Amino acid sequence: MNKPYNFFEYWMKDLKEQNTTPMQAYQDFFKQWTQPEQTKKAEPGTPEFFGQMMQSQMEMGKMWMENVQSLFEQIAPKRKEANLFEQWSKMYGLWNSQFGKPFAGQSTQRNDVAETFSNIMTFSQNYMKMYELWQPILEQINIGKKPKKNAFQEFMESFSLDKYNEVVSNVFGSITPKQSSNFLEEISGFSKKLLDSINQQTGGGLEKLAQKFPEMISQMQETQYQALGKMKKGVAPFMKMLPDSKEKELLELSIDMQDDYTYYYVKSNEMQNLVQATAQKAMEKTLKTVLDKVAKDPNKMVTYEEFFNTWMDTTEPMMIELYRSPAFGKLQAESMSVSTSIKNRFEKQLEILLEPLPIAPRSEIDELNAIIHELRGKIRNLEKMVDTQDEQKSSDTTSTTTKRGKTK
Amino acid sequence: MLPEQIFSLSEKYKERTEKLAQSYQILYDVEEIDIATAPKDLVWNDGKISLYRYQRKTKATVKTPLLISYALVNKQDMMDLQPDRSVIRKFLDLGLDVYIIDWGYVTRADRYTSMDDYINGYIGGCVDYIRKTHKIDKVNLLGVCQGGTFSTIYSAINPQKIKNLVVMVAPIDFSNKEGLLFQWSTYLDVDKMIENNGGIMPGEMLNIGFDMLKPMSKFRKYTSVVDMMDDEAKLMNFLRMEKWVANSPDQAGECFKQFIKDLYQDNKLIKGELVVGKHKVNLKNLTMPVLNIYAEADHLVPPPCSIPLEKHIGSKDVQTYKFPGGHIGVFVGARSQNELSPTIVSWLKERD
Repeated sequence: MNKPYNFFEYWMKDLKEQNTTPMQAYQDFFKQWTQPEQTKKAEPGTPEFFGQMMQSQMEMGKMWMENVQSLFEQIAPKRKEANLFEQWSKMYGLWNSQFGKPFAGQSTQRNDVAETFSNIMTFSQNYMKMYELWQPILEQINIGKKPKKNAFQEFMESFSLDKYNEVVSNVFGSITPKQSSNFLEEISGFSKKLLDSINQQTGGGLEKLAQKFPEMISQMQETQYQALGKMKKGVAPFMKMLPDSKEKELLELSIDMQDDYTYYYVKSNEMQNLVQATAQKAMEKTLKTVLDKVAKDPNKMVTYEEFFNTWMDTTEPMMIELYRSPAFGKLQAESMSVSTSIKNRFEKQLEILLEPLPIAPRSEIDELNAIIHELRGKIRNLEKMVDTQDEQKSSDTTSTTTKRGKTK
Repeated sequence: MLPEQIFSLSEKYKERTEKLAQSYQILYDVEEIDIATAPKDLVWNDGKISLYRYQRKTKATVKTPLLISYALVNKQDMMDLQPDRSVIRKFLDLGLDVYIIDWGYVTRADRYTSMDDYINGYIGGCVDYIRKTHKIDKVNLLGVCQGGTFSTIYSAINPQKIKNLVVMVAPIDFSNKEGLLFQWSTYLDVDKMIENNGGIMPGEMLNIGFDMLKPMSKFRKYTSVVDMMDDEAKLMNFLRMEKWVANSPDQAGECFKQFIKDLYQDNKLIKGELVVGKHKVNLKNLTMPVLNIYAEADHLVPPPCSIPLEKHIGSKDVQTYKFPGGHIGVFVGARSQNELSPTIVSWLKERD
């Protein structure tokens, strides 16, 4: 079968021609990435500057993926194997951008100040979004008159729930339907490439099936809620017809991943609904609190900060109560479990893709780790035994000396 | 939108932009965020685990050295965040000879490191090093949070090696589900999660959970920090804390699994069913003096999870100390400097 190793060979060859090493290439890339930051410093304070700054902070991971991807494209634009890897990395990139940091591993290049500023920017955006939402209400209640009896109703009707949910999603975290759909499309695209490859290997004998398969996947995606966890069963007869190959293994993993993702999407939506319903109640409660205040003293101005703080003070305990509920706890555990399953399947796919390269896969390294761990334990025990024997010897010597002394 | 509203909104944007511009400039000028600066020497290590001894200018007035075992979550730098908010410096000033364990940074190579390794292997190795170096039989042991749980377990297995045990904000009784972490762990399929994460628990994943304990705190913190940027001392305090929070090492899978399953889920320590390595842990073996410190407003380890220690141990010299503050306040608050640290040192001196 064909092996997806060539793009690495090309990459290495290309690096050799450029008289550089992978580490230098990485450092050059890193420099390129950090350079614009330094350029920006020349004109701090302008709105354009902040836009760029925020963009660069927020899209770091995305940029990295794009760079890696373009590297692949430059090196082996025509190679089928490289394209397969490219498709895979697109899929992985999308998933990573959704799940973010927890799956990115420890960073050895941490920039604490930059991270702090990035957080300040992110939360400032949400702070301003909240201001946009509340500002019309604030102006209405600050006109020096008692609020109308139906003020609450009127305000709630004019309030943009979509915008508010956007803030809630940013603050409490969630995935959007668009992200979800993009990710599923990528899995589908990757599956199609695998099928094309299998079809070519079998001399085109599976052409009809290979053409039919993406259609079938697409139909199942459209009814993802109904097909929850059933993708694998649905395509099982078809899979039996495929000859054993690495591509088939990759395809099976992709189908499992799709099942997992659909399940994750459903669970995270349930969580999101709980969060948004609670946030909505918190917002209603906040508005009532503020209206009560104004009704008592119509001449007192309500500032945005006062409003914002009331909202946060009201929301926090309500969210904690939600998080404490068994319903939320179960959903959280399920979605964490299934999201890590996706990560696991990605890693298995990567191992298959990299198998022909002279790189030890993680599963082999893990075997070594287990052996090293066992050996370290044995050494520690032996060292302890030696220490105990030494202590015993020295205590025996002392005791003998004392006894002799006594005899004398 | 009414013109006045547009005007007001643009004013607000202008105000915010100015604050952000100022913040950026101030942050850009920050050269270094220095934490954990008390001078110390590396005296022992085993793999990634290091034992440090803090330098003293004068001879210690408390004979028995103190070994500090911090949690595996975040780093022990919190004990010496900055010179005027440093439990370590206070201990040194008050006459202690202080050692501290640095657990290092776990990678996937450490996935099989177990509770037995951490407790009997590493804490045990540090204790034996100190005993040997000082030619003494027993050391003072202070454990913080999860490090407090580990220290309690170690002391119950090796009571002959511990003179006095101090535990700070440590979870001991896991049956109370008041804390969100305790509630969430009930439903966690920890085996699957660790396996899927390649044998480790990512620190960033833990951080998400910690952030959820006080869901609005980040929003509150990052929107208000721009208002105190011109106060350099306050800003540096903020940045030091940020640096500490962000430094969140991954956890070794094997140890994390046992900690969640045996303690959070099955509460085996209190039940007398916990087995660590070849040792069944019996809290009644804790016959040495014990000082148990809990924080009244602790949202990570609520008081009902720490207080019950005294009921389950064999020691007749037990003191439970209520600290009026939160989990982190124990290390960095003014009360920590002025009241708690002197209390710990006096307690140790009385039993030296």
